[in-house]
Amino acid sequence: MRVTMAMDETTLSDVRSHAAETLVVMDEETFRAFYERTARSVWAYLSRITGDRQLADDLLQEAYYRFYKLGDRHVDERHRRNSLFLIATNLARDTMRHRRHAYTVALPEEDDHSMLVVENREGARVEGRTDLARAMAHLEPKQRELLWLAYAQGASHHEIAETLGLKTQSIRTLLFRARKKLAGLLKGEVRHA
Amino acid sequence: MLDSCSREQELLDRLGLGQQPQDELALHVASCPSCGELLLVAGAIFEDATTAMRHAPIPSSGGVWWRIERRAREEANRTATRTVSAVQIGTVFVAAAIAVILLGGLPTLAGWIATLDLSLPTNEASKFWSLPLLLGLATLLTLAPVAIYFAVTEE
Repeated sequence: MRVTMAMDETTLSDVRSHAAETLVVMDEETFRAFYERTARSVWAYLSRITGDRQLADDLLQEAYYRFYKLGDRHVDERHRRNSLFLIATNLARDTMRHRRHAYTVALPEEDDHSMLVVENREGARVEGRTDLARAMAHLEPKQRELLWLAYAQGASHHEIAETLGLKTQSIRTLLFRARKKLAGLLKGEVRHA
Repeated sequence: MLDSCSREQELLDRLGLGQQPQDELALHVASCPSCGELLLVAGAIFEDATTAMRHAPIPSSGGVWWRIERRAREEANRTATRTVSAVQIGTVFVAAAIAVILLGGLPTLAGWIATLDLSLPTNEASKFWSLPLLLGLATLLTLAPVAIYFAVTEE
């Protein structure tokens, strides 16, 4: 299932300023429903931009805690989702910066015993993902974020700009370059360091 | 130069549905370098995302909610405790200041204030200082940073 981050003209900063006026705590039912809808995609995002599944586990909970602390001030689901990804991005960046964390190649999810059958049956697919992980490791953090938000999350340029703190006009160029670089890595045109 | 193709969105929509390009679109992708590159990159990422999401080891929503609520309560308690401590320390300082004034006497305080005029010679100013006032001020200056540190520092 594809997760789509739709957008409209209201920006996250608009939401922030609106929220500063009225802080409403999110109730349990709303939070849990939102968590169920988003946790998997946030974990996948964190896992792939940090290259560390263990770290993704930790950051996931921290991201939801900070999201909860913001209060339920979002006008709709899209804003909630964008806000959550913004928090996740900042958390990942801060953690990587403070720990001087090196990006590691994430092993495929099928590495546990229960998924060995899948690995055997779909060996080519697993190999493909490992190649992607290796290639992603050679991208800059921002390029990983860009590509993941654009292609895994289906985020618009405006949403990507909001989440990554970039100008909307620059997203097209940055995305093009990141895509070009990853394509080169996947094709083996760019030598892995 | 950004070599993009007008059919990229169509290709992304197709991938978003979990389908590979077929028929005429597949032919186009095979002959279009931009769409070919997009299929390689977006296809790989989308497939990886699908797998990662399927196997994401996420904790239950109930467990996460419980931990978040507990952490928020603990944080609120710590904040409240710090505020109370700050108020208490402020009260102690005010009381100490009053005690110093009473011990040193109001004339001494007035004299001390007068010394703030830097135009006065040093030896002229020093006669206004009394021992209790000096001791009180020294105590306050010594303890204040320590007390503030303990009041505002999180455990």
